[in-house]
Amino acid sequence: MAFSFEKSTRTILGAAAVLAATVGIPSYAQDKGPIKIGLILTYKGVYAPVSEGFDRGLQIAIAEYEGKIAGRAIEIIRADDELTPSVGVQKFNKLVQLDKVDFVTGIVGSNVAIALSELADRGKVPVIFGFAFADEITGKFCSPYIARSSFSANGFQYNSGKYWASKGIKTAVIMGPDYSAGHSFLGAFKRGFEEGGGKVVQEIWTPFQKTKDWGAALTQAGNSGAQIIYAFYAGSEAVQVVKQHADFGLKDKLPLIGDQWVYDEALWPALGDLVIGAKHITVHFPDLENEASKKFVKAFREKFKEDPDVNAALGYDNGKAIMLTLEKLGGEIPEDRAKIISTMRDLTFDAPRGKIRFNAQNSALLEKVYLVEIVKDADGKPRRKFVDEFAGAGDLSGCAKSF
Amino acid sequence: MSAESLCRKDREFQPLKLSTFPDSRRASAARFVLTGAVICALPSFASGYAMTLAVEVMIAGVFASGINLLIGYTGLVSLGQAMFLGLGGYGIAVGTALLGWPLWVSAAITLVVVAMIAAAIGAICTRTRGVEFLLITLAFSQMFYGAAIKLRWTNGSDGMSGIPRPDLSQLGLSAHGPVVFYYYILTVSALALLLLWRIVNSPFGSVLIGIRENERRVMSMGYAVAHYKIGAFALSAVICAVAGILQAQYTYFVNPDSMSWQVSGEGVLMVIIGGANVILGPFVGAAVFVVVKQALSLITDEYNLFFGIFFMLVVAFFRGGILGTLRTLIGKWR
Amino acid sequence: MQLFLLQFLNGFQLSMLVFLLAVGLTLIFGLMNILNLAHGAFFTMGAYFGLIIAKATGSFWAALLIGPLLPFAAGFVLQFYVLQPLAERGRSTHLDLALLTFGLLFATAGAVEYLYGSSFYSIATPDLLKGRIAFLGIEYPTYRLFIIAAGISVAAALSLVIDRTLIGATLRAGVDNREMVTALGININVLFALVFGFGSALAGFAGVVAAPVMSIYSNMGIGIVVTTFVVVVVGGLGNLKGSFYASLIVGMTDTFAQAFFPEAELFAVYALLIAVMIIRPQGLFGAVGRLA
Repeated sequence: MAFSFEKSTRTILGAAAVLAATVGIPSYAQDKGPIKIGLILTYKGVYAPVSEGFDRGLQIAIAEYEGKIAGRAIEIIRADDELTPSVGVQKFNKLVQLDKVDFVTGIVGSNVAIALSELADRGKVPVIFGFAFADEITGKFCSPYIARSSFSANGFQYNSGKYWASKGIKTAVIMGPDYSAGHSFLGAFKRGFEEGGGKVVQEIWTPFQKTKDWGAALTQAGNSGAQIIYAFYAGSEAVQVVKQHADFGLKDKLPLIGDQWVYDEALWPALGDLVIGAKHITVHFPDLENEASKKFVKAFREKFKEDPDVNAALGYDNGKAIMLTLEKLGGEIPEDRAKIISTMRDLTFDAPRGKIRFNAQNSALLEKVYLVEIVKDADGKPRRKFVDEFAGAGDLSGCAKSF
Repeated sequence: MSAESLCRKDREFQPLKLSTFPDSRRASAARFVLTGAVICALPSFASGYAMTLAVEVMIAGVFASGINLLIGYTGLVSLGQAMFLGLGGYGIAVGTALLGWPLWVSAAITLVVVAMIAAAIGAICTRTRGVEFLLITLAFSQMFYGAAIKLRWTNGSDGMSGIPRPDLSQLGLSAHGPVVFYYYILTVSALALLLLWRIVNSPFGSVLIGIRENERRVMSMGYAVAHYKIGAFALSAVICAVAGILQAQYTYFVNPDSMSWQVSGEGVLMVIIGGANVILGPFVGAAVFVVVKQALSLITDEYNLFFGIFFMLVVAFFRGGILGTLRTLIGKWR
Repeated sequence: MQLFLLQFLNGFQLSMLVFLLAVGLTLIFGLMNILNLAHGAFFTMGAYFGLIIAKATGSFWAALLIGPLLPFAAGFVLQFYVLQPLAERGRSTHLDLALLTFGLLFATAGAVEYLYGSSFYSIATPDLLKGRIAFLGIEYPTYRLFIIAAGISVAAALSLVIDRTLIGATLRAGVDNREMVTALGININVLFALVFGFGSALAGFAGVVAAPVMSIYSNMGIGIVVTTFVVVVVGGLGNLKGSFYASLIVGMTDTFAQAFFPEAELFAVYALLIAVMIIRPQGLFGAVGRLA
């Protein structure tokens, strides 16, 4: 086999030269240029509608400050992680090394978040997770460079479990996607539910992003003899579960209860009347009666001509936390960027969902969780109606580092 | 791959020849040294992002080289080599995180285990050929993929993180720094390339090429063709596993996605782009693949579309890949 | 017992959907030796085109009848104007064509994504098929029973055509001995293109049939392609009856694993395939001695 040096040499030399030349041009350090924020979301795929809502909410928060802090413009550089950890890593590297962002935010999927947490810690780049609810992220994988502006799965679901047990539900079957967030959410529910006296009679885990037909799973659930199905699904998975649940005649026999992602607004067109009568827990809904929420909903309606969904609320909270932090830092990015995270940790502010404060592991806590029911309003359109509320729970421990 | 499309009967079947053009041996050696120097000196004039891309190219290149051994040199097209990429990564993850062994021990044991598994799988797969071989390798890799997703011990679809990089503290260096890591990957890639070159130019390699060209004749010459195929399969798997280890160290984590058939497909594409059955082909293919993917994603969100079109054009029109095409063109000149 | 019956029906319904996809693929492979990895693309194409028709006419049945026409045309064009010429020019081997179709699969997903974004759509279940039917002590969604019926009808119709008509005979002859058929004066290129188109149309039909049950989204073809291949190989490449039985096996294995042995879920189907390949590489129902 001839080892052809010439062609291969030339090609590699050429490629290396092009690569180095185009990418190696030194950028001159600028004093007061824009503050660059890398926004990684899943703009395509299962969680696309969730990401769009978040992006919009973030824009509203930044618009409150007219897009500037201390005279410096806020520049957002977006990237799509395709809900795949390896792509998330590539985009993270690109944002940090090529675009030279000051910090990264966003990230929907806990699977991507877990992959990025190590990278953020090693690379000393702050990441503020806007969703990524799995408990391990601020537990086992905690770091001085990681914060989460949303909430942990335990904080959201633990008291939900207790609540349903207290309302006369004695048996439940839990159903969810087989990955970190699914396990965190439903695990927390199960803990609360069983401590409240209920019993989870069956656990059904479906392969994440791979299940197409929920027939088998729903049939098993229907046969379990439980009073409710408690589920966590989002995006296109949620649509199919809700539809097929109704197809199998389970809507009255075995109510499907979950959180707001199971019954997200983005899914309402596809679900039609199936959502009427559904009950779910949420951290925010448009008719919530508090000052911050009213202000946010008004701004959102003006800009986007529709009501914000919970993802927008989370995006807003994320954006507000970032802007407040930058304000406190006077628009200066500190040499040791962990200071961005620690500054955020000391914040307490009123957000549309209630008061937001952070625990010692940089994880935002939930003040309240609301139970709502979807009803038809005067125009015949679905609307969320307040039913009840209870407190959010704390986080699970598991962080071995101290910072 | 059909014999006709890959074999340039006029020149190729001459092992150990350093150059296609005997009069410029010294010139080609000089060019090789120059390229090597550029690659070695890359960190001093390139930015951090270029180094990251270069690392990705090298890791992909090692993976594609493993595939090339099977496709280019032995003529067996597999869509399942990603399973060994994944097994390599999971091997050191399990070894270092769950079993507590030091990195070098985990890596060595991983490679040995992968070789054994590959030999077993190879024994089954090599009983088929052509399309059936393709499908059965695909089936095996899907099986491993499914098992990895379901296995709670390795965290299922979330995968494992905290993969360690080599501890170079005795040399006063930290492999977490981009420059040091670049040289580490460069060293391992160069070693892998060297290993491949030695294999291909050895008598064993000649038999593999013979199998690709005309299996029956090799059989009639008395060689135990099945054993050679299994050997090629196992060697290819080990090289892919090395790439898997490097990949896991680069991202600090491993998850089932690295075993998916899309990853296998991308590896095959890199081999085709760069030119199968040329030693450096996979690296060229990897470079083109990574750079084009990056460039496309900077320009447009719809890179799937353009990527698919690019793939189709390469397969349809660039017979022999980039290097092969260049060779043909240059050959036509002279 | 009722649980078993319900899951059996679930498995049957999944099998029929997979069969509709597999039968087109196995026909194409059997006749032309082309491993059409883009088969999933036609599944997607049919579903989206059906969506357009359903939105335009408000009728599911219109979507079902007209939807497959686009994949038919696309398949015909692809084979006649792209794949066949490339194969004849001798520049591309079967494997290269397979890889070409691999690229097409991703290109189609990308194109659909570009045109429709990544939202998921759905076609409404027609009123006739809404609701559930009660029998043998269970209630089962009517539409899923329709899917089962559709699959069986297609299988029966194809079986009739292949075994009892002249076209079927020509096809079978073409699989066995291509040169002879050409020598008999039949325009083999047109025949191939028609079969390719028809196989793609079946995939498109499957797409429309599946739409009310699963969502329509850009990557829907990619996920289902691998399962289809398992069926085609287990059934024997080019063997129609084989693919029917193999679909049943694969569909039931998948469903029952998911229901009763969830730990083995993704694993079981591939382990099955490998077992078949070891014992009978030509597939459970394939003719002995068939080489690639």
